Amino acid sequence: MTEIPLTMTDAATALRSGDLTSVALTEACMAAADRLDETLGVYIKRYDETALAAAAQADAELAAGTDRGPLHGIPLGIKDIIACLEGETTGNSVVYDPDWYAGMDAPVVARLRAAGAVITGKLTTMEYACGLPDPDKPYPIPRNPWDPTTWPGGSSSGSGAGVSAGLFLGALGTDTGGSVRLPAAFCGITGMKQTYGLVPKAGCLPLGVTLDHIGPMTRSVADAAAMLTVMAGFDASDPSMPPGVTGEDYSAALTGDLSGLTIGVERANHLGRPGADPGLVEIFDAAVAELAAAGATIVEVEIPLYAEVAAATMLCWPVEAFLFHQPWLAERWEDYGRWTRSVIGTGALLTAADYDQVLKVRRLGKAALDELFTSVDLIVGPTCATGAISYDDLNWDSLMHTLFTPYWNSVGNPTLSVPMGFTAAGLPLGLQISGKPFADALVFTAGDAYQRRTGHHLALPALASPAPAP
Amino acid sequence: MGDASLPFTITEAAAALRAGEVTSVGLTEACFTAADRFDETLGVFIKRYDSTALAAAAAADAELAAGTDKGVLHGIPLGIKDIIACAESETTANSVVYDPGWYAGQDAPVIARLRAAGAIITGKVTTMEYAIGLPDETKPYPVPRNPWDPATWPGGSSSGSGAGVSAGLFMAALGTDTGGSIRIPAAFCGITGMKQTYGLVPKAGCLPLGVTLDHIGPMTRSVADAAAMLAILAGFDPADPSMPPGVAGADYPTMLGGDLSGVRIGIDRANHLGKEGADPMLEARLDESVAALAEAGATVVDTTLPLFDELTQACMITMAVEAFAFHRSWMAERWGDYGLGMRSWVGTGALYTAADYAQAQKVRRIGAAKLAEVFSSVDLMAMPTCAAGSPSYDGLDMGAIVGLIYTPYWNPVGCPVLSLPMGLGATGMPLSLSIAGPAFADGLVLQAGDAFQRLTSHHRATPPLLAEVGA
Amino acid sequence: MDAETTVRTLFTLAGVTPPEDEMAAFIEGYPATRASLDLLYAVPDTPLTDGILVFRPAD
Repeated sequence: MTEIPLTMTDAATALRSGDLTSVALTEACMAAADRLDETLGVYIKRYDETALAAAAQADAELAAGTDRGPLHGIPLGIKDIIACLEGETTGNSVVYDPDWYAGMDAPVVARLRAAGAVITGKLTTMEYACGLPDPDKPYPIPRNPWDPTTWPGGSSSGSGAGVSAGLFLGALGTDTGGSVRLPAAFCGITGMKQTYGLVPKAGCLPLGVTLDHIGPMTRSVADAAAMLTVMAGFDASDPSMPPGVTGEDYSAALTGDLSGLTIGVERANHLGRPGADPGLVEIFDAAVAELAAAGATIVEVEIPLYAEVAAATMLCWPVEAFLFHQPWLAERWEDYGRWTRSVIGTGALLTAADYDQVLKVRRLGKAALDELFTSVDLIVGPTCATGAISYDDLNWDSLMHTLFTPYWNSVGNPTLSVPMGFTAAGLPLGLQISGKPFADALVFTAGDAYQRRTGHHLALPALASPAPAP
Repeated sequence: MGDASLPFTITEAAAALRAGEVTSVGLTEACFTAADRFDETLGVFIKRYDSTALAAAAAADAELAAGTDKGVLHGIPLGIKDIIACAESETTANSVVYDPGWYAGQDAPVIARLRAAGAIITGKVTTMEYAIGLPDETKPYPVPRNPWDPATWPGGSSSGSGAGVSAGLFMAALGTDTGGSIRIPAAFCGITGMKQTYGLVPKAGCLPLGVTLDHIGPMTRSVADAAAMLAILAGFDPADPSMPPGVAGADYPTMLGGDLSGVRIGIDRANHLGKEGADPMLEARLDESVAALAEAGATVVDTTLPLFDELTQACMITMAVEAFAFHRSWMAERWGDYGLGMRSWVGTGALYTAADYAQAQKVRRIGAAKLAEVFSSVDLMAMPTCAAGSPSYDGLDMGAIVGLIYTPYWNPVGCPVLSLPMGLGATGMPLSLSIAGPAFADGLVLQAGDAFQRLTSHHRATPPLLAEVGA
Repeated sequence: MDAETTVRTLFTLAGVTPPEDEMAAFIEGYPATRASLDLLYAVPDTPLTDGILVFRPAD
């Protein structure tokens, strides 16, 4: 059986050198899913037939000299709140409209397909991108490949677990308070929440419209940069995008050299949290040292209004989600998962003045952050305080207690999570790198420079090692 | 002014200044005379800036004489609604609840632009308290009155601005418009008022009522004057995050030509006629106005605005919520210090949920999309500004006002709307025509209004009050 | 602060009826929501600040 290349970049090289075909790659991914998915609960729906057909087409095109770029022939999974023409979008829920966006690709999926990607299927997500797994509902329970008794993080759970275990080479996730970066951190992969408004969100079920981002989840920063290059840019269907906004060739920015850059290290709000992993500080310090070794000047910073803005994120999205779900919640309350409805329901409990205050605090926080970013180019901190949480200990409080992600959704700045090491129990830890609005390329540069000097992102969970050749 | 020898419009005054027929000092002193004569009745000024205005007028005369010509507003006396900051004095918002240190000693960007254009700031004028509500006679502020009939409300919230221009206390004014607060006093006082496209004019240094609905705009005797003022007011300022980055105005005066050939104007009768309490002459005045637009070359067609009630409600909800959010901490401590009209209206903002507010924003977006479809088949819309002329103060309340006005529809969508006189109603009080266009079509809107004013003379009518006292 | 009356009223206004055991959880959690909001209200200068949502008229 074909060994699956670790990264898209490796696969792209192999596809063009004749060492690999897209069909073989796709079949290998399918075999990995056959072997692992019952344990990992990654897929809601596999698109095996259409994926193989797309892979065959990719092979034919490449052979004929039609080269669509780094995603050509690469198998990708799609979080099941994003519409693909192959089938319905369930939101990981029993409460959904099967006709919504039926038979159509979300613009972001259309762009991936136009770039030659092979869409392998729809992946588990927390219900409507929020809440926690509910065993009473007819959907797989997603598990962390590094230790299946633990949660892979969410809400892009299947995306994180699937990339980590090699069921596909990249995935789309979404991030409203951390839902790309958290599973990336817990599953030991790379996840990018790019600048708000850079990637169109039409055809994506909303959670908190002012906080949602669709972002790439991959093994490496180079892969994420290739994906974002394809995904980014204005689409008239999405009114949240600045008119005419464009992405860029993010791959071209990956120089490996951080000379001349000033990186702010944010310890004040990130370290010293009770219950944090004992190894966190040392691993974080080592990561910072690598960035310095790559040429960056390191300074200490403290983000102003950090707690307030993080609180604002968590107060904001339930309001927006409640408005979206209100008609269904009024009629079918118990058809929603227990965790989902307990969180979205709180969105009914804010007054309009409260919501206005939330939005104002976000603006003030953003202004203060812009001020801070006049003296640094990037800001780094851990993604979470701990490794993946065991299912025995998983609840809303333990989740909130570990997260350092929500702050960034309220301000909309680009934020990347990359693996930075492991806990004593062998669970991955993530490093967050954040930049100024629309400085996504610089964020990638830093993450890629870090990955050139370290190998955490290339570590595979034991579970994912290819089965021995027959 | 009462003195027929003085120029009536800014455009005329600019010509007269350069022809040596008047001086800025002369114009400014004539404004003082009108204020001395009428302000006790009309309740226009909260604070007069006589000495600094005269000094600025003298400087303007010297500059013009020396050949430094700052443009059509040079040496022209203006009044400023007292929610906009001027360096001369504090901004009271017509309230006893205000922070005297707010923006103290500084000009709002719009004021700085007017001064750079050589305008004379004559003082701060009455407004409904924080731009909402009705006069509260228990509070220490003048009660503004309509020069056309001082027993009636001049409209609001830019009450002093409307009354003052109408009675010649200044040649033009700044007002603000959140649900109609430029257009209603313009309508009731028989003058011209422009609520331009949202985001075109910077609002820094202006106390907010509903941040996503507020506009600062010009109130003048003519559309040509409004065009000249807007050209100076418009354009990006980084102090105001509500402005599209790099947004720019245009040289609106050069866009006024009087010929509306090729312009399609939709007339909305369905949502604007037949209301109980409407003035008996309203429909006739509208018909005459439509005929004048057609005479200017426009093609007119009956067109119904979409979601009229829904967008109007979205405006009122959004305004209440945003206003309450602004005043919340003061209201918690000083409820009774606010005027009754203001607090009884703004307090309702506490009673909406976040989902209610978010839904109102969705309705705005849906309504804007439907309106954009309408604007693909017509270039402009025209309709009455209000159902009748200025109401008596007797028995006036917010409910009665809301029943009279057609203005709130336009704030939630941000489209430019111009209000201009279209003749008198059955009781001799002014009626008003509104002309609206799609976002950033301010030039076309002004062009249509100016064409109308070339063919009609309603905008040159003055309140009987001025004739009574004599020159 | 009577969390129970407030929460029940807000859910009535919202047209949503959680069952009693879940209602109890919402009521128990509401003081923490208000505390989060109080944190936000304590941020200075907010009345004069625009919200993060910027209204743009149709282009």
